[in-house]
Amino acid sequence: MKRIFLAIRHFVLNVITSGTFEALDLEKRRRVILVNLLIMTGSLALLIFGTRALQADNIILAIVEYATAVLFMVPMLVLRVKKWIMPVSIFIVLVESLLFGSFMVMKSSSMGQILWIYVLPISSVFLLNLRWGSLISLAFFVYTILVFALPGPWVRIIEKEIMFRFLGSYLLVYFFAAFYEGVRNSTNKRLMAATAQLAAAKKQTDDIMANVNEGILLLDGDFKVGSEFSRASKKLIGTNLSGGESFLELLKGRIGDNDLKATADYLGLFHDSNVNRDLLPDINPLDRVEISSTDGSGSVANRNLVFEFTPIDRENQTGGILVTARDITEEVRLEQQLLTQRQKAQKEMETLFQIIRVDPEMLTEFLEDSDAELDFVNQLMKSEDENYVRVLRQIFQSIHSVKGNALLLGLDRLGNKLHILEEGIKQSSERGPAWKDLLDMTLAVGEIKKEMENIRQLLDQVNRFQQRMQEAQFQKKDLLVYALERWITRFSSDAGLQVQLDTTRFQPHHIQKDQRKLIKDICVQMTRNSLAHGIETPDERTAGGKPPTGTLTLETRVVDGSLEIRFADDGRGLNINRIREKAMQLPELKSKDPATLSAGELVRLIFHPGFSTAGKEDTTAGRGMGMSYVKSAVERNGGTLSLKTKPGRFTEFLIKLPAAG
Amino acid sequence: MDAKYITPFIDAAESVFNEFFQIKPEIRKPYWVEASDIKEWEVSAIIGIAGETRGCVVLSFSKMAAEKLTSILVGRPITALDDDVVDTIGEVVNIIAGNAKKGMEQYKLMISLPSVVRGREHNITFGGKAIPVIGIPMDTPHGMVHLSVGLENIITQD
Repeated sequence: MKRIFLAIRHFVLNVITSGTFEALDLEKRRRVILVNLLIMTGSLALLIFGTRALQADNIILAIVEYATAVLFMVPMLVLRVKKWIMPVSIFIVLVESLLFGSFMVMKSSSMGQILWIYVLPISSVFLLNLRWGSLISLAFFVYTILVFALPGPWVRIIEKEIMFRFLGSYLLVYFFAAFYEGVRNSTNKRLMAATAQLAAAKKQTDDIMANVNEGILLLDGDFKVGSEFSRASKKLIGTNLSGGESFLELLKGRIGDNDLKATADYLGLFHDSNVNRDLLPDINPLDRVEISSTDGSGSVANRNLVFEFTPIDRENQTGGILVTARDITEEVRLEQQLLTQRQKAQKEMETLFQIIRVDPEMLTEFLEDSDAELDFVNQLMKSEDENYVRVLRQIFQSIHSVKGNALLLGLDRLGNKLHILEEGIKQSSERGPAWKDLLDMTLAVGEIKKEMENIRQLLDQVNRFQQRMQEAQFQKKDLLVYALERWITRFSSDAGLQVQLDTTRFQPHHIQKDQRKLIKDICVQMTRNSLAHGIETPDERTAGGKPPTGTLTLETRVVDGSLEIRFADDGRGLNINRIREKAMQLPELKSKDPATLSAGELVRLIFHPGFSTAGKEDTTAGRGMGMSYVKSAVERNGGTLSLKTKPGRFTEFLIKLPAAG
Repeated sequence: MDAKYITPFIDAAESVFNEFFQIKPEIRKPYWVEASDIKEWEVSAIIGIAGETRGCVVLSFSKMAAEKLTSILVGRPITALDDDVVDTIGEVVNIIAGNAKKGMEQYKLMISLPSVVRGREHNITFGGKAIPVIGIPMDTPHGMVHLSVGLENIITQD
């Protein structure tokens, strides 16, 4: 029964779709079905009416109706064979128009035949399109009015009253058809736009899935892989991935059995609503896993992957699990490389610490001796002596002596290696050495040689470093002198002076670190002072019977733990008269008569703030603050400052600073 | 320190000599090769190794060994180091390398075809002084065969 029904259904569908079934798109299918239905009902009706006309002896009408019916059937065949939808549609509308048009003017027409014209707006609008359908429908509407209103040979078969109703309902049918078509069109358009959008979105998603480097796939409630997954998933998880298979089956044999079991348990937790989802990533057993996968060529490659599992929650129901897999093979490789390097560096550091404790000369000697010893070992191996036990005994002695020396020097690493080698030699000679033992031993000797080479290189580095440090230390000691010399060179030439700095009795190590700045400042001040007031021009000096080049002397001494700095110039000495002149201008001294001041008191004035005998201020002299600064700085640090001068011969400052702290 | 790349070659040489020449080479004491060593060989077949380690494995033959072994295989007496000797030694070493490769399948290694050199007392050095060469002499009834191995990480940096 059901089969008969299905067969009928199939036959009907075949007829009304012209055998295309669902092959055509919706728009074309709609037209084909409509055309076929119109043709079938139209032809059937025409045949019936034709027969009835024949019975009523209306031959002409019968012929017209039969002919139209046959004509009507032709498109059905054309449609079936050629699939000319549009020409057929136009043809049908045309035939309808002509037929119905002729009904209006045919004498033998009856009321019933005129009612057929309601079909026209429906078929024209639906078969052609809204625009042409409307045009034809309205044209026919006008035609009907004209036929009715104009006088002519035709016979009016209906009353005026009925004609109006007839026209009204014709319009109504047209409007319904037009309205329906319009709505359908806009819906269709919107649907098309939405479909296009969807297709574009799908394409983007596909692009992402095809090109992303991570494996991305979805698991359903039974942990089966969904149909959509990124192309990289295949590469990472397995080429046989096709969607629909169990995720756990996919991993079987690729990861360890324990891992597989843990993964099954872990995935089960995603179904358990009591489990705190935030904690799930922390117990992911595939957080870092080595997975073996076969590539296209069939060879097996191991990859390190990071899997992430994210539960997908849809509204009110638990969704599947999003799985992402990332390839970290390269990272792991680099990590291991880094680790190896770090271990190597660590080893070097260890060796370094061991060797910097040892006197370099002793170490060099050790390396030379050991080299000779190991060379001897190699000579023994090269010898023709086939008495392995004897050879091994000699080698053992050599290795033992090198080991003893290494341990003596605290080279524990090397000593340990030598010890292991020694043990190996002992064991193999006890059980009778085979060539494999000898090969291992030779390799071990090579390794020890290499180790010693490393030590030698480290030793060289340490030596070079120490040398550089000593040079740097040397330069640092000279820094103060260097600064003063530079300063002197710069300003003495400006002032047309020739000055040299004598530091032969300057001992930088006398100066403690925290005194350096103070002493530097003091020296700079005193140098400025000497250049501004002390040292004469070369001409003056020659005239005074002195060498043209003036000498500044900087000396240090340590007396009873306190530092003594002597700074002297062989210049013109302090000019007592100029100091006296200058003193008279100082407001503080107005009360006293400078003329009554003793030479000692006057000399002390140079340490008075604001006192300067220089005519004008410049970088070397003149603000009068320099010497007072020196004095206060020395006193602040608990030191004393004394001054000796002999006009025309020298000025000498002696600063005593107690040991700091 | 690892002999894992060396022993397969010794084993392979032993079995190939046994199979083709029915002789059992005596493995002598291995040593570190130095430039000053006296070289007794005149023909060497060099196999390049690449992969997780790099370097060369060389099988060197004394004139006598090369001639005798060749004459056994070609079936006529050989008295000079001619092209037959070069071809035969190359072939024998190729078989040894193939056998050795079977013993090293677990390592990622590529082994080249052997190239054969002729010459009195030629030195064998790899990568300058950086890669030391270990020498393993093998005595056969037909003369001395010498295995030299210079591989990057024979001496491991542990």
